[in-house]
This record gives sequence, structure tokens and C-alpha cells, in this order.
Amino acid sequence: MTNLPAREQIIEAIRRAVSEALLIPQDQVIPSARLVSDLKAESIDVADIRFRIEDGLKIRIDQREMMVALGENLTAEELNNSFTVQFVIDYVTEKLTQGARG
Amino acid sequence: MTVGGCDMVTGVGTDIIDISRVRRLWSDHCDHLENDLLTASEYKRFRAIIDDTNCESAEPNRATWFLATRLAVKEAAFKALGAPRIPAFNWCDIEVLGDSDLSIRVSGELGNAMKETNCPSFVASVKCDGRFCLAFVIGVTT
Repeated sequence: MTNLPAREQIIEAIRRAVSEALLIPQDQVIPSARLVSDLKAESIDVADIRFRIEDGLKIRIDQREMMVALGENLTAEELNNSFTVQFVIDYVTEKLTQGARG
Repeated sequence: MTVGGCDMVTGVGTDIIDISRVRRLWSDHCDHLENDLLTASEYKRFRAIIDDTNCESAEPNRATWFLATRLAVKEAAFKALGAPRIPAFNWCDIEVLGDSDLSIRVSGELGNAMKETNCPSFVASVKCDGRFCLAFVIGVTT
């Protein structure tokens, strides 16, 4: 069993990852921000964000698995609306919690 | 399905990628390229280009263009599927083969989506210059 980072540390790591990948100020990275629609992330940016989170929090994020967690059989619009900073925080927290348990 | 002896176009996808963005991705995340963005075979060819050109840095060169080409074609191929519902996928589900004469191999959930959209193969074209890499992919069925 490993130590789970505090919720604030997870949020900070994710906000920093998004900010550094997209070259935007951290104050724009609010929980309700949609990565694609609001923050204009391209797929290469999403990969960049994922890698930064993986390195920062020492976890492995499988893109397919993350997309399934967003919801199956979504249209592009539904997917973009669901893919928020808050979703990433919740998803990563859940992954870390599972890792700490395992 | 063939109309008038021609292949039937089932979907079209384009992607344009900023070479400097690819360079930054490579520079910041070189350890993540293999088996995440590039398949083992793609990565082997990428490494061979780096070794050939004796360039480990992410400066504009054949290796950067190779990486940009793979990423742009993968994204364009995904769009060319024209799936009404977005299938969950990993970048390695799409493999780009060849250099001047590109071909695309699809596996995983995307492979299933291809069957559903009646898109058995892709035709790809790509153009890179100093700033951008543009990929154009069409899904065809014969």
C-alpha cells in the first residue's frame, strides 16, 4: 500500500500540467473548464497533459481507459462537454486511490 | 462497394500539426513516445532516423518530420473513420507504415469501428514543411 497524495496536491499537479502543456496561466485552469472546447486543447496537447500528470503523480494513464471513463458511445460534442478539468481530477484521484489500495 | 469501377469514399479526415509543437512534445516527453504515441515498429524506425542523422535533440530534422507525420496521419485517420460515436482508442491502435508511400494499419476498438463504418482501408497523403505537417486521409471501401 502506498501513500495517496492529498487532494490539494492532485489538483495542483493537474492544474500545473494543463497550464504547462497549453502554455496558459493556471488561473484559467478551473474545474469547469472543458479541455477541448474552452481551453482549445488538441489531441497532441491531451497527450502532453497526460504525460505531465503521469510524471508528476507517478501513475500510468491509459488513454483508452480514460475515454471509457468519460462515457461510452459518446458523440464528439458529448465527449468534449464531459472532458473537463474536474473530470481529470476525479479520474486521477480514483486511479491513485485504486493504486494506494492495491 | 464500387461505383463505376472506383473505390467508394466512406470518410475524409484532415489534420494539421505545428512542427514546433511536436518538437516540444518530443523534447519534454521523449520517454513516453514508445508504446504510447508510436508503436514498437514506428519507434524503431524513429530511432533509426535519429541514429542515421546523429541527432538526439528535437531540432527540425527528418526525425521531427517523421514524428509529426505519424501523429498527423493518426489523427486524420481517426477523423476519416467518420464514426458517429467516438470509440475509445490509444494512439498505438493506428500504425502508419511506409515513408513516401504511406499505409495505415488499425487495430483494437478502432478496428471494430472501421468494420461498423464499412471502412476497410485508408489512403493517406502528407506534406510537411518547416512549420507545419498536413495530413489528408480518406477511408475507402472497394
